[in-house]
Amino acid sequence: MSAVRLVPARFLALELACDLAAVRDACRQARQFLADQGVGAADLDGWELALAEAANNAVKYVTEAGRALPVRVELDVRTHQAEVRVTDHTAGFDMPARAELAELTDESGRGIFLIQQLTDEAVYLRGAGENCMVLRRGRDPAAAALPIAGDAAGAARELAEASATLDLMTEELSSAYESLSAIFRFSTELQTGAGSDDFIRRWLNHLLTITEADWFVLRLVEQGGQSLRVEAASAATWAGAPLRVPAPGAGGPAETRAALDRADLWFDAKSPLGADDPLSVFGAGSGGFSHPLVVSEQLVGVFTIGRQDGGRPFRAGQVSVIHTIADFLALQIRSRQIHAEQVRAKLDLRDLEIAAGIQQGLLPVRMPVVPCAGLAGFYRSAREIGGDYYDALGAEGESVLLVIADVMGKGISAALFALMFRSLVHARPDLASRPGEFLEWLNRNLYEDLDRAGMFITAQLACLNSRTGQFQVASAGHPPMLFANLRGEVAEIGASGPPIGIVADASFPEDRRPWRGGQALMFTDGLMDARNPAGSLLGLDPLKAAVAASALRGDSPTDARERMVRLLHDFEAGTQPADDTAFIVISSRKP
Amino acid sequence: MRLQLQGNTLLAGGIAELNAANATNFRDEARAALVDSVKVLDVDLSATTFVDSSGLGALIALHKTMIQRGGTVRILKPAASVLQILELTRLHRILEIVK
Repeated sequence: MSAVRLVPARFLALELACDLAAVRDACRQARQFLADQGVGAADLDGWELALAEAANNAVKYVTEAGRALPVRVELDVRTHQAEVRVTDHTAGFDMPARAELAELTDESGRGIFLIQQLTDEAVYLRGAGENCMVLRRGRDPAAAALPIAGDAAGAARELAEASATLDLMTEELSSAYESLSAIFRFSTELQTGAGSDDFIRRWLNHLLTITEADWFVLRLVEQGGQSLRVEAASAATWAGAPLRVPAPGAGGPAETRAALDRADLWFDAKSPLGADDPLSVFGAGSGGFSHPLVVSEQLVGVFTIGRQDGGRPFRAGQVSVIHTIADFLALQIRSRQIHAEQVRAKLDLRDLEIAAGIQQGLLPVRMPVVPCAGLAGFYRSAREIGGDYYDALGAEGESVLLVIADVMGKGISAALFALMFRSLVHARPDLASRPGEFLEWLNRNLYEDLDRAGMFITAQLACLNSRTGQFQVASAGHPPMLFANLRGEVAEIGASGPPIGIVADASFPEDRRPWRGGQALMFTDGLMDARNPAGSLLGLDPLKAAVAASALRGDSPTDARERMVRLLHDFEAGTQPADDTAFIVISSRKP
Repeated sequence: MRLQLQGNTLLAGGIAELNAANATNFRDEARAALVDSVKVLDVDLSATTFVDSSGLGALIALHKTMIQRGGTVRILKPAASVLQILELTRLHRILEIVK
C-alpha cells in the first residue's frame, strides 16, 4: 500500500474587507459552501456562528496598520472533518485553553467560549504580521441538534458539559438556598423586635458574605431631609461626610444620583465611580450599585454595595437578596423613626402632666395653728417645672416645724426629689424639734441618690417652740432666714452646713433665736433672684426692708404675704420668672 | 426592527438578525423607546435566524436596563438554533423565554 494517499477535499478561500458587514456576508457564503458539501443543518448553524465570532474579532481588534488588509477566511472540507481558518491582522491574544463562561450579566466576552463550544478544536496561531484562528470539527452526517454526540469526542464533550452544567446549577441552587435561608433568619429577627444599630450592622456584614461583596455603605436621610449621613459602613473607621441632596451638577456621586432618580445606580469597570465620589475610597474600579431606600414614597436613605473587582458584577439572584434585605432594613429604620417621634411627643406631654401632679402633692393643704405665731405660705411655679417645696408640720408641745427646700435642677427629676424629700420629712415627727439632727438624717438618707443623679437640695428647717418661745434653725446651704423684731430691726440666720447631697456625713449645727414678736421669712432663691425687665436681681435688701415694714405695721400673716407678693410683682414688672418661688411668712400677729 | 408600545409592554419585532454589526443599534433603539410606563420588554425572535455573542450582549444590556427599572425582558419564540445558543451560554437562566 502506498504511503501517500490522495484525500478528497474541497476548498473555499474568501478575502473580506475589514468590516462587520463583510463578515456577515462571508459567513453566509461559507455556510452555503458547507451545505453544498453535505454538512448537516445543525452543524451549519454551529459553523456559521463560530466563524462569525472569529471573524468579528478579527474586525473588532484590528490594528491601525491591519485595517487596510483583508481578513482571510479559508474552508477546508474533508470527508470526516471540516476546518475553517480565519486570518486576522490584530495584535493577537492569548487564547485560553478552556474559556470560562462569562457572568450571566456580562454584556460581552462570550465569543471565545462559543467558539470552543461549537468546535472540536480551536487553535490560535500567532505570527509576526498576522494571526490565524484554526477551527476544526468532525463531520457527522446524521446531525440532529447542537452539540452533537455522534462520536467519542462528542460524547466526552457532552459529559463534560453536563457536569459543568450540573456544577453551575448546584452552585446557583445552593446560593439561592443560602439567600432564602438568610432572608428567613432576617425576617424572624425583625419580628422579635430587633431593630438596633447592632442588628443593622450585623446583617449588612452578613450580606457581604452571602453575596460575595467586599464593601457597603448605608446612608440615612437627616431629619431636615437635606443631606445623607453615613449610618453604617463595612469599614468601621470610615467617616464619610454627609452628602448634600440634591447634589450640585448633573453628575455627582453615585449615592446622590440614586437618591435623586429613585433608581439603582450601577457602577463597574466600564462606568466607574467618579474620581471625587466618596465611594471611590473603597476601590476606584469597584463594581456594584447604589440602591435608594424608599418607604411610602419617602426617601429614607441609600444603600450601596460593591466588589473591588469591577469586572465581576452581581448575579441576578444576589441582586434580589440585596434588594430584599436593604428594603426590609429601610422599613425597620423608618418605623423606628416614626415610633421614636411618637414616643417623644407623648413623653413631652406626659412630662408636664406628671410634674403638675407632683406639684399638687407637695404643698400643705393648710398651715397648722400654733399659739405664738400665724403662718402663711406662698408658691409659684415657673415656666419649667422646678423642685421648690415648703411645709409646716405640727410637732409635740404645740411646736411647729417649718420647712423650706429647693431641689437644684428642673423637670421631672427635681420634682421627684422634692417629693422624696417631703416623704422623708413626714416620716420622722420625732425629729421635728431637733432640726439640726433632722437635716443630718435627711442628708444621710438622700446623699446616695442625689450624688448619683448629680443633684443637691438646699433646705432650711426652723422649729418654733411655743413653750420656750424660741426658734431653732438649721440650714443646709439655703438662703438666710430673715427676722424683724417689733422695732423693725432685721437679723438673718444663714446656712450652717452644706446643701444636702454634697457631703455624705455633713452636720448642721442649730442656731437659736428667741421669738418675741415681729415677722420672720423663709424663702427660696427664686424670690431673691427674681429679675426685672432690665435684668437686675431683686436681692436680699428689699426683702429685709419688707420684713421690717411688716413687723412695724404688725401685719397679719396674710398681709405680710400680700406685701411680699406685691413687692415681687412690682419688681418683675411682667418679666417671665425663670425659677420657682416659695416663701413662708411667720407673724406674731395671729391670722 | 419594529417597535410597538402596548400598554406597559414594549414589543420589539421584525428582527432578522442580532449580530455584531447591528447589536448596538438594536440595543440603543430599544432603550430609547422605553418610556416610564414600560414594565415589560418583549423581544420577538420568531423571525430571527442568526444571533451571535454581540446580539446576546445586547439582550443582556436590555435585561439590565429593565431590571433597574423594576421591569423584565422576555424573549419570544426563539428559533431552535437561537434557543440552543441561549442555553449553551446559560442565558436562559436570567432571560425569560416564552416559546
